[in-house]
Amino acid sequence: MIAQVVFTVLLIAVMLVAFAQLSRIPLVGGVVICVALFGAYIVWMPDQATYLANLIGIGRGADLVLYVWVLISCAILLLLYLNLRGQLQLITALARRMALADAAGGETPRSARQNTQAK
Amino acid sequence: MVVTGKKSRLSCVPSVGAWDQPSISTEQIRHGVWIVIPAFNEQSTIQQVVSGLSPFCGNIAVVDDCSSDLTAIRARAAGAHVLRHPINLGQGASLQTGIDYALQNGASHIVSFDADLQHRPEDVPPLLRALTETGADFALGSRFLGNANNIDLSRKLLLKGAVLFTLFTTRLKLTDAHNGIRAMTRRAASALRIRQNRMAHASEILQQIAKSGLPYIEVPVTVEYTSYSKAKGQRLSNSLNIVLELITGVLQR
Repeated sequence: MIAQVVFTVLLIAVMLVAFAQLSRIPLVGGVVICVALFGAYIVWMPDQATYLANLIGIGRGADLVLYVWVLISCAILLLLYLNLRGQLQLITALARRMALADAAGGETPRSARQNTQAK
Repeated sequence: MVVTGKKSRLSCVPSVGAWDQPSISTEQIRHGVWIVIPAFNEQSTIQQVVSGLSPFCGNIAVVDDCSSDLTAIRARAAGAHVLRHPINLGQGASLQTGIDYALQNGASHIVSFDADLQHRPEDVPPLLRALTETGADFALGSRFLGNANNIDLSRKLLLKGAVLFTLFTTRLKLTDAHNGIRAMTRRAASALRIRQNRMAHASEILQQIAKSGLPYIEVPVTVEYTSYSKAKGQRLSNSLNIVLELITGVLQR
């Protein structure tokens, strides 16, 4: 019972993280929520877990729980990676705006020419 | 010249000609064409690249990707417009910054060009003439229709693999999929939105060309491999990163 509660709390946390990212990364976020829901189902229905495990060629229900957990961990990693990429795109937009605002025109500035000659 | 279907591939091999072709006026060349050069730590080559391009085009934008050397100063000294990223973002991001700048300044045509001396300035006019003579929106330089001097066998195989990958993922039939020298019309440049900051941008551009349905053409160019350009160029190990970046880019949409 204790293990079931702990796993459920963890899975709810995973679902909340995925739900927060759903608007930004819908595909991966949706997959994480579905897998986490499935995880919660087999945590509370271990008999069903064994039945489902046998259906897909896995010996024990406990093994199925373990595989689902590994799957959730990988999906969370992917979610975080995509989130980082999203942040990078925001940084890129900011850096680009700064570069465009500070662009230096085409004619050769005397100071730049002197600087180069001095080097 | 052949125009086919929505994803139009125009077959044309323009000769290396002068600017006095009636299809592009001198005025248009001076004011409408912009050359965008992404550069990162290219102080030893950037001045030569900009000077070499100056007779062909008055508008050259060098995007310095936060170099730690004198790239920006030397590009300015050579007469280029210089944009500087405050942090290092990658070649794809630099290219998009340069395209945005050129569009802001009213560019009618934009040419992308590498800063490592592997491209020849003389190849720019044929690319632009290919656009105006065929009505294509993208003119993609092809070293395999032209010349790839001093190319390694491993690099050649890698590039051929990229051609197959492009055919598989975009259905674009190209002879060269990762060449930094390409020309595009204003319409094409406006349709592009490069989100791959690093080297996957070359594949992303082709994906967007395929998706846009805008006509494209391949034009023979010469790529000169030197020890410098080989050191700066792509390695076999990077190809896996490119594929991973493309996959995660798709997941993020």
